[in-house]
Amino acid sequence: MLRIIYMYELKKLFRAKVNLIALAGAVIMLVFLVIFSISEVQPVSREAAKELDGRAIDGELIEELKPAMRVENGSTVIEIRAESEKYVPIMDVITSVTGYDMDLTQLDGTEFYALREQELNQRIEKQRLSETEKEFWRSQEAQVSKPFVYHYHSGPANLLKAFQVLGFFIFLLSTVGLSGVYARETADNMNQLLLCSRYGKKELYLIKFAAGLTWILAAAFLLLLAVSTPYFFVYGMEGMGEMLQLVKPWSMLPYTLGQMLGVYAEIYLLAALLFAAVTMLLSVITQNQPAVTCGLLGYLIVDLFANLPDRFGIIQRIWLLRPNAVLMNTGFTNYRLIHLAGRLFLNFQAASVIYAVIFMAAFLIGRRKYRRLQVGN
Amino acid sequence: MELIADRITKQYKNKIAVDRMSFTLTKGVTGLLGANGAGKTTLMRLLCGILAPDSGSVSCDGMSVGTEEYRDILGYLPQDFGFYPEFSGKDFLLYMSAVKGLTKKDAIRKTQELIELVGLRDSAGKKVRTYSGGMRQRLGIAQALLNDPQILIMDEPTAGLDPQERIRFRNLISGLGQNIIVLLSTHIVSDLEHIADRLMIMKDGQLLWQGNRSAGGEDLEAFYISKIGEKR
Repeated sequence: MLRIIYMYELKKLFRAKVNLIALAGAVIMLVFLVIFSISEVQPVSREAAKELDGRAIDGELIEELKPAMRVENGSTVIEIRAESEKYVPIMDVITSVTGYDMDLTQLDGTEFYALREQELNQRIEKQRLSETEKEFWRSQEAQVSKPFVYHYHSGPANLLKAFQVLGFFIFLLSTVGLSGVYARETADNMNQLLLCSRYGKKELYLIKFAAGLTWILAAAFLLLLAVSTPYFFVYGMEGMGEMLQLVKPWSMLPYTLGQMLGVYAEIYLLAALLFAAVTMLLSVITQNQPAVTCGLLGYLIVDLFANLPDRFGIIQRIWLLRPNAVLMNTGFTNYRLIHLAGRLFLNFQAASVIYAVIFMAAFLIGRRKYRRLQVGN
Repeated sequence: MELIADRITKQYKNKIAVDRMSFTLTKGVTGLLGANGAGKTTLMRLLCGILAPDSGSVSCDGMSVGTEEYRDILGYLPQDFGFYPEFSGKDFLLYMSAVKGLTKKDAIRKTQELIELVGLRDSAGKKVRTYSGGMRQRLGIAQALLNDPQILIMDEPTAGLDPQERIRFRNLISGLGQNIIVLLSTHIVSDLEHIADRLMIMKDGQLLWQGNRSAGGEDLEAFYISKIGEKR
């Protein structure tokens, strides 16, 4: 019988017009965004970008691309001609470290890596890391192989960027789809019937919660599929095994792009479950769908626009653990570690643990609240 | 089987909706009469366990209203309630059967039986949002009967029913009242004239009078008005 209730709860979610419109809208928008990002006018062709596959970004390669460089008003520009087209992706990696505002014609391989190291040290000092944290990052950086080896990586690089949009959309879908899971029963006066039915208290809370999670996971997978399918169709698995630093030069993690995508996919799914649990908790507590929706959309605005500077210390660390911050790649430039149970965690590792704890807390508080729910009080 | 309310009280801010009411309900149809705002709906919610009293208790053969066993033998029709617009009438009854703990087989059988009983056979497959007020009310009556309740509490059940449906409903309740406890609230006295075994009259949250229907004489309406007019 519980399975039948579950099926009907799913029906409520998956047949609600507003949910279907929101889901379809999100999928369509994401597919368009991905198609635009793929078809965006690229300065180089794929064939040219692959020509230097496997070459180390060292002094020799930097010397090769210098004839294509020109310095104008202290900035370096690269002239894209047929013979220099293949150097553009290399130039992208180099300028992601050096920027354009210096004379790169004087750069050599040693100086390139020295510049990166210098900048990393400055960032570490600015963030006032403890000795333990510094030691941790030194050991990580030691595992990053240098010189960097260039491989074509457009697919995973674009997919990595796409996660921040995914985080935003799954939050919206959680808000739209789940804010009424419990609250709507009160608005429709259905709680009067449900709460005096045999399974209307303990079991119904669990089943509604499970149905809510099913909805958000289905939505999360669908969005992920909408984003990743076009990329995989165009780029295949190419670039998945390449070093993360080709895209995120300020990361000191010895990860491949594929590994990082795996981490992001996990964070994204955990974030979806977290959003769902919190939305449903608010739905139980307030019993008011518009209030939950407005509250969560208000939070989203703060989430998107509030940036706490380094001097905020612990508050900034906590703020950077929110799902959208993790998915917005803040972990690559923030080296502060999280101390939990006597161990050091990267921000996405700590985030996973914290999301699981909040998820459980939301579930238990919601259950307690639902059991005490009354009608017309 | 006895449903016992012992000095139950419920207060909303400055208004006492139910004021120290004590009574015992046994098998048969009990009519609850009172003007709008007398506290009938609050009393019924207290009896269904969906609203906790500020003081006092409700129990049935030792079962508290908060227990699953009590909910298992309870049928409730609220005064007004919504439906799931995306469900058909049949879906709605199957869903409610599941929430009431019926097995799949019983749910299908009972749903079919009640659809026939309340005269919704032709529209059972249609979305509830297309139903008229009377059809919705009949669907509500059907859901209250799904689990063969031992205690049936109905708040203004005849609202929205046409005269023919009203007669059919009265017959149905008369039949049910032979074996179970039925509490039926209304402010339309004629609804109770032919089916109530006992009467309870409420005013301003208080139980003004309770007794056998026969005590009300031939003209129940006049009896009710005389009671309402009396000072306690």
